[in-house]
Amino acid sequence: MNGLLTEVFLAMDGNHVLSRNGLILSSMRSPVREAEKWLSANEEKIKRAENVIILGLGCGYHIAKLLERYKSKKLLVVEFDPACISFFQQYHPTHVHKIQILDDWRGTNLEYFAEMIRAGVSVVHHRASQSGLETEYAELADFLLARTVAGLQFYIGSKFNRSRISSLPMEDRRLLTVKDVVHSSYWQDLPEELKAKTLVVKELVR
Amino acid sequence: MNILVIDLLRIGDMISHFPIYAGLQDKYPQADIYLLTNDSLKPAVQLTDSFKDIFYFQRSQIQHLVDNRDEHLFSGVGRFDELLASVNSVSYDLVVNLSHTRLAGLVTGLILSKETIGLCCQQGQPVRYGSAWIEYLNDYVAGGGENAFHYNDIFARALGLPEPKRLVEMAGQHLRDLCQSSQMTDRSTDVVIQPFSADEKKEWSIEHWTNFISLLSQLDASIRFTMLCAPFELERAQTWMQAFVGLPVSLRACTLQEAFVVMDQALLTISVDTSIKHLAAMSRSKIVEISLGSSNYQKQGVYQEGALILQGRVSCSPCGHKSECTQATHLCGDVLLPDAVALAVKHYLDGDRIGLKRLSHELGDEYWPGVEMGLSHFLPNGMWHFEPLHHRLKEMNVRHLLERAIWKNYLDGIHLERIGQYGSASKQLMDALEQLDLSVDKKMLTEACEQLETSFHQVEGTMGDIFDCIRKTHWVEGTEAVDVDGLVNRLYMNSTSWDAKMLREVLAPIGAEEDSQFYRRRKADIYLKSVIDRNQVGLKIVRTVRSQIRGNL
Repeated sequence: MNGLLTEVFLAMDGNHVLSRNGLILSSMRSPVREAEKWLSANEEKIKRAENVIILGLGCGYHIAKLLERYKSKKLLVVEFDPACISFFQQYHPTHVHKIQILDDWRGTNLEYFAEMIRAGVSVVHHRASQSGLETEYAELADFLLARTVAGLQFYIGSKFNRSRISSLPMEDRRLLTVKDVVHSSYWQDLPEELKAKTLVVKELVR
Repeated sequence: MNILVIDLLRIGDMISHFPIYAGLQDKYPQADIYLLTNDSLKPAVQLTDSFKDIFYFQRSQIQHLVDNRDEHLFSGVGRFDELLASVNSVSYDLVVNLSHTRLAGLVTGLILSKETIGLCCQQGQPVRYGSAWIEYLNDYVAGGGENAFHYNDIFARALGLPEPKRLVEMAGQHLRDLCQSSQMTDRSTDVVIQPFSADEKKEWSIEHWTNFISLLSQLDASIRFTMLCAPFELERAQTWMQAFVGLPVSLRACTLQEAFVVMDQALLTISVDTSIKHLAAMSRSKIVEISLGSSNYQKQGVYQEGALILQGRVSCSPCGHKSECTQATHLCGDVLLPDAVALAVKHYLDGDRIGLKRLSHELGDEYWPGVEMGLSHFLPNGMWHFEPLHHRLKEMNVRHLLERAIWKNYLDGIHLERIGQYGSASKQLMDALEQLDLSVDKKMLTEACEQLETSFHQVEGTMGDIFDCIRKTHWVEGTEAVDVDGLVNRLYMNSTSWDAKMLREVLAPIGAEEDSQFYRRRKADIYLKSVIDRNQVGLKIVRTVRSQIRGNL
């Protein structure tokens, strides 16, 4: 990510925070309290799976809080800004070895996601950390949440039919609905039980 | 024994199903009965204590998950899966699906049970019904067949509950206690009106309501009105109240339980809304049902003895539930004039049946077929019936009763018994005719029987040809498609009848290029066999009725 200008500030509670192109990536008043609020707001999603993908590392206080509360969770954090990764290494050194951080999500890195999808994963945004890079994170989220053709293909490939993982149509940005899934060529790859449940949901949102 | 009831429609439908719940409790007194329903139906669930446990289908949450871009595309499926796991944690002996929709059928197909009654759809399997009555509901009623049975009667027969209780017996102790504690010393309400419905097509205009209240007040100055509305409808109701200025109307925004208390203490409830109509049937109030838009009293009329039903009858009524009104103005509501309704209500309140009949004849002659007026009844066989009050409909009423008796006995499997009890079936029919004062018109009854007998003979004569034709095209490769229209027209003079429609549907693909030829042929065979069986039942019942008429002469 070239052209990103980052600076470190001292928040009112004495913690260090980072700004990117003039946008502060966490609360200037109390980044720790803000992280606690984020954790409460996303608790249900985080609890749901053993594996969690966090979209945005930012100043990392939310990751520290999450690791304190859920020691056994396997965390994969995507952060496109190298400065944030360095900041995390400097200010949260005890947590660095507990998580995996990716600064790019394409190519061979996809295998990390595939492994987590196979085991069951929750994808959680950290909006404050995404400041200035919203489009990039939205594209990744749509992919990981199977909302695009490539994402759906990748999800089905990861979970049920590995041959589907190759040649993902990344350029196709259309957003899919459950109805699209039922009428797609991927339908045949789904297990019968999942098909039956998907038909219920399709009927529900008709 | 564990039983799961699936009820995934609306509040009104659920309230109308209370007699079915009670019937299941009576039939299986040792059973634990569970309910799977929409979370939006909680207000109705609070009115019943029939269930050991209730599973809520969080439809809006699932819809939100599916629509939310921040959630996985399959997150709705995941949430449904959690519910399903919880429902399937109980081992069921019987699952009863009371919602005849594709969604409910798909859900039912995913629940494990020894026996299932009601629509059940499973991936890659033919649809199952669990009863000839549900098959009738699917093929005949949902297919647009006329003169259908009331939904409650269909489900009751399917479940082997021949005499379901009345809704008025369904008010639980907590509702009665509520009424007791709020007993009004000075009756402040005589007539409760419910003018709002979730479906705008079912509503009567504010102008009509205003004129109606004004006219009824002129006929009886002592009547006081209470307009009911749900709390979320309060703003709209207050606007309506401005139109009622000077009229003896008060407004009550209330929950379903509170509405029950108000209605229980009133003389009469007039409703366009399904849920209030059925709730009123649980109370001691008399009921006038205003049936407009998609409201179909034949299938979902107020399940109470002696309720007055008024329907604005135009060519498009009743319309489809989901379709928009296709007319420039709300025709079915427009034809139901306030003066007619006011007079009908006055006669009804006075118990003046002759006055009601006279009014019905008068209206029928002036606006025919604009207003249909009739009373609800329970026949001696326990089934609900709409008795039209206009003399022009007397013949139709007799024919309806005959046709329904044939359907009922056929669906109950009289033809499968070693010795079919056709004498008892005919006696029940004669009792019903007598209850409605129709048996006295022996000439009309004999004519109706003769007409039916002729049509049965006609069907019998051509059915063999149709079987022959199907079998020939069955085995000869490259044969041209069956001349469906020719066959159907030979069988039915009136080719728009439901039987003709069904026959076209099952015969159309035969002989044409189709993947599922064998399945369609088998379906056609089964269907034709059912027509023959029903024909046989009809012939036997009609002949027995005729001999009973002769015996009475």
